[in-house]
Parts: sequence; structure tokens; C-alpha cells
Amino acid sequence: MIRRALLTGLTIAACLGAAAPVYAQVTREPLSPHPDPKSFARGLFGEAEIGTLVFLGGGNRDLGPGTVLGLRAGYEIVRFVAIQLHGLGSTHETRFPGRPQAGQLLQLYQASAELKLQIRIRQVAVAAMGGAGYARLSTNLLGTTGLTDPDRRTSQVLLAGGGLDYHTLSRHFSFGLCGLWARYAAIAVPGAITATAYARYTF
Amino acid sequence: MARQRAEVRAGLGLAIALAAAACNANEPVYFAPRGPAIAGDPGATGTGGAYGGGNLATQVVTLPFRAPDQDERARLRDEAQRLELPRVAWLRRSDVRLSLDYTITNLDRAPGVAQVLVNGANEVTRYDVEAILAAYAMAGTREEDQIVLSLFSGKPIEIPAGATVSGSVREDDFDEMALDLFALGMFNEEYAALLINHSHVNPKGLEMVPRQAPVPALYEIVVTLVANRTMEINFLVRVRDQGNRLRSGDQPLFAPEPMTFVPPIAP
Repeated sequence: MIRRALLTGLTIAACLGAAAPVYAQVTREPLSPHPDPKSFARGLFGEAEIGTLVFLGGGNRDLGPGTVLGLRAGYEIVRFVAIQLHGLGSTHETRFPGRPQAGQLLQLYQASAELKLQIRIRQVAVAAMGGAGYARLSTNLLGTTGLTDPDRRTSQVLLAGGGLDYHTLSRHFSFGLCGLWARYAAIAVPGAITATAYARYTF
Repeated sequence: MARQRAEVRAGLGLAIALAAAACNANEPVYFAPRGPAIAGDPGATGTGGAYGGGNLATQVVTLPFRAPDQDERARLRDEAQRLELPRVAWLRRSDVRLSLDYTITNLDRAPGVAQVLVNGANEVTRYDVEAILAAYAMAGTREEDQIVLSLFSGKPIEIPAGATVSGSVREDDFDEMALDLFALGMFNEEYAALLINHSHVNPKGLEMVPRQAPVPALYEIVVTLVANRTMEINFLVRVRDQGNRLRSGDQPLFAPEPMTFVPPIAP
């Protein structure tokens, strides 16, 4: 038994000793450690976002912050310019201290067209965007408080903001953060800030 | 590829339709009175001996419903014939869900007690406490013998000086008011028993009401604050218009002329 094990060991040692040395062979240029944004997909894209919407000034006293869900669809005309359609909805609980309007739920829906300018540096892109559209309130509650005209539910909205996009190197996918300031023509609040995180798929 | 695109388009269309439906399914509409009502203010509506000598203030909200169109009138006639009733209501409590939120502020320097009363009218019957008091006065009934009940009577609330309290009259309270007023409009024999008892606990006074008859909803809401100090009530009527009855645009306004309820008064 011991003799057989010794023989096997000697055979393995002989094989290893007789093997020729192996050298790495370079057949092409090594890959660049920096990704090339030109290889990222470009053109039609869609985004799904989630975040929060906070009213500014007196609006923050009367309307609580709300959860935002939104969708964007757009097209990159050139690598640094895109046009996009944006829809979002948010839910808020009213505050109105000492008034019967307190504690009601209110939804705000927005649809807007936006222009986006962005600069991409490797995986990261910095964007500025602006747009205009319409907002709709789910109820006429604000009309009973003087924040809107009575029974007014729609308002023009102007949007401006920016974003930070991080590409995953998987060609189609990227993630990012977006912040938008909104000004509502028919709602007597100084404005609102929307902060969202998004996932994006470029076709 | 073309099939995939068609599926995507169909999915998008369905998502948009569902989102639009979700936006409109349960959106309430709010109606506020012209201003707050102040009980105990020199300009308030008066004092009521029948309410225990408290100061009264009343505000009325008349909800703007649309009149039925020709087809809807025909359907109402058909339904009345089928149910063998003289008429059926256009505004029904199953279609028009009402609730009320209020705040009461004690404007006095001393604590006080406040109570909220709600009355109103459906398209057939108006329940007016002032009319009931007038009927008692006409009949020469002594004040202590008068029974003056409201369709809804909130519990008396103690309010510290300068404080504000809030409360609600819920949808099920309005359901009960609607049923009671419907019964009172048809058979007024059990007036007090009907209003004192909750229909789920003791359906006294409802025996003669046909079960299949649609119960009319209130379209006029009269809110009264009774307080022993100077107090202010602010309120908001919340309507969930599940039957698409609220008037919009230039639709013709529904303007019924209900009969005022008068209880049977023994001479």
C-alpha cells in the first residue's frame, strides 16, 4: 500500500518536472480602463422615477410633502440634447391648522414637455433641463382655502432643474438623481421642489 | 417585431386608461359655506330655548346637482312603475356619498360647551327645525312639551377658552339621516322614535318603508352650532359623486321643491 502511494507520487512529480514552461501571449491591445460613451445606446429612452415633492414657503405649511411616482419618455437628438415627455403624480396630506380642510388627501398630477442638455464624462452625465406643462389637482379642496380660485383644478406649470446620471456599462441601463423646481400659475404657493431617483432604459 | 410593437401600444393604452380611471374613481368634491357661523355673536341667528338656552348659529350649503336629462327621466319613470312606487329619487344616497368635517373655535375667555346639529332636505322632504318650532307655537304647545330633534345631533363637546377642536359627520351618519328623512317624508307617525333610534339597532319607524325603494340623498345641508359661549364653526361638505350627479359646466341645475316636514302635533 505504502509502496503504491510512493510510486504514484513519484510519477506525478516526474510529469510536473517534465512540463514545458507557459508564457502569456498578447494578441491585441489591452482594453481601456475608461469606458467609451459612444458605445452606450442612444436615441429613444424611457425612465421610471420615485421620490418626493415638497411645496415651498406657505405651501409647505398647508400641504405636506408627498411621494412622487413618474415616467419619462424621450429622444436624444444628439448625444447632449434630448427632448422628453414627463408625467408624474404625487399624494399629499393637507395641514391647514385649525381648519376643516386639514387631514384630507390630495393628489397632484403633472404632464410636461422638457428639453434636456447633458454632458457625459465617461460613466457620469450632468444634465440641466427645463419645460412647461399642465398640472391637475385631484379635488377642488384648495379652492375652498383660497390657494386656488374656487373649483379651479388645473394650472400651467413651469419646470427647471438638473440631474446626475450614472451609466452601468451594460449599454442600455443607467440610473440617476433628478431635482426639479416647479412653479404653478394657478396655485398660490411659491413653488415646489421634486427630488427623484430614476432608472433609465435607452433602446 | 410588428406584433411586439402592437402589444406595447396596447399595454401603454391600457395603462393610461387605468391611470385615468384611478384618478377619477373616488375623487371627492368639497363645498364650503359662505363663511364661518358664530354662535353667541350679536349678529348670530338667535337663541333657542328648545336647545337648552344655547346660542345658535346656522349655515346652509346647497349642493349643485344636475337635473336628469330626458333619458334619465324616462328611466326613473320606468323604475317607479316597476317598483310600484309613486316616484323614485334622482339623487340617491348610493350615488351621492356625503360627509362633513368641521372645526369649532371657542372665541370666549371661558371654557364652554358646543354641539353640532345637522339637518337638511332631500328632493321630497325638507327637515326644518324652525318650521317644527313654528308648528308647536301655532298649536300652542308649551315649550317643555315640545320635541325638537335634529336629523343628526353630535355629542356636546367641552372646549377650553381659545381652543379649536375638529370633528366629522361621517358617511354612515349621512346614510342614517337620509334614511330617516326618507321615512319621515313617507310616514311621519313615529317621528321621535325614528330619529332617536339608529336603524341598524332598532328599525322602529321604518316598518312601512319599502325595502326596494331607493333612498334619496340630502342635497341641502343645514349645520347648526349650539354653544353656551361665543364660538365659531367652520365646516366643509365632502361629496363623493359616484353616480355623476354633480353639475358641471352649463348643465341645468336640479332645483327640487321639497315639502317641509311637520310632525303630528296633538292639540
